[in-house]
Amino acid sequence: MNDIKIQSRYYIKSVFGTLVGSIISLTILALIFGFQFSLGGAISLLIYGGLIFFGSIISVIVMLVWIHFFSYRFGDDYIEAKQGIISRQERHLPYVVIQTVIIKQDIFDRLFHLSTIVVENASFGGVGMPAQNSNYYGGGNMYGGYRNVNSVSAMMGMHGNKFVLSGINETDAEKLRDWLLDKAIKVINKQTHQEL
Amino acid sequence: MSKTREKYPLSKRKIIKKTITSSIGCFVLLGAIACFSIVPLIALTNSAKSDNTSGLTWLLIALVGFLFLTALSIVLLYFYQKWYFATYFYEIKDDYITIKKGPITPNEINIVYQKIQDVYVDQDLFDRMFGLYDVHIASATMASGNLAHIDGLEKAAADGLRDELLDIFKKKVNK
Repeated sequence: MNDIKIQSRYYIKSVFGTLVGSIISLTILALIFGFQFSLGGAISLLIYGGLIFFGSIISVIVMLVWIHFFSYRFGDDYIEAKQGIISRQERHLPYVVIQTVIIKQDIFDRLFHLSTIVVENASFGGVGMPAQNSNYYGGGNMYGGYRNVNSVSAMMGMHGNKFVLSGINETDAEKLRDWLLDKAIKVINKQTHQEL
Repeated sequence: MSKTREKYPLSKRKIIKKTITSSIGCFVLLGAIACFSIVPLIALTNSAKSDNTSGLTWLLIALVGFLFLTALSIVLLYFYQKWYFATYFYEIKDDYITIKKGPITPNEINIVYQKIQDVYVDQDLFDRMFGLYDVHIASATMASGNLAHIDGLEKAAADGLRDELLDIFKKKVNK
């Protein structure tokens, strides 16, 4: 499973998603300020548009740097993730504690045939930002590319009780899901037999 | 369609129920937009002309626009709900349950039976009106609370699904 990689088109998707988000935001602003056809409206539009565009570029750069410093490995007994730009973390999610495996796609994932896989355990004391409070890095699209299904959206990496891997092929996501569930079931069954 | 869905089918009343509940939201939103947009338009017209005829015209335009958009939204929501219903997937597999929803942005959740914390059936107000039931399969994560439920079943299907899940859980845990 360690041959499953983040696809390069994920970066294109991220930039594309961010641009679409910016255009939508600018259109809404144009409807609000441009409707007045005044100098003040035009200046406000320019300022807000510039800020949104600048913010989008910064978020894409931060995301790229984050992914550069993020690595993962599917070991024999657990998923290992190393992450962090300044403060580094190394985290492990044993297969035996997997609670759910989720595959999700936003609208841009569908366009680019990409998927995000989320593996959850039952821990809420994990190191890192609680997943429900963040929705970028992993999303690629910083303007709601993820449907915010509360705690389902999360940034790439291991945060809170989730391991999130975005930008992988649809078929790879299905392969990984089957492999992870198989691993989890085998370990759980083994544990149950030992307890008996 | 999965074997589980064939055995415990979703009720077609779910489409109507979901269309109505979504339409209420649309109605409120469009109504708010119409109310907020009509006041500045009337003020703008009144400042340009002294009589109120133009204000009434704007009011009529807003009303017609509101009714037209509401009707259009209801039709679109109905077809979306039909599509959502057609792509709704759930299957009881040997070792885990899979639930997949969303025709445009799909979300698929898989829960291993041994990790199930609770199986429960509930109804909201509209479910009671339409005689529908939701079966929830909760694990220890918040995401399962949001995603792992099968909504829009009739009583027999909901009871059957609940019983089968609890039975599998019992067998798996006592294995």
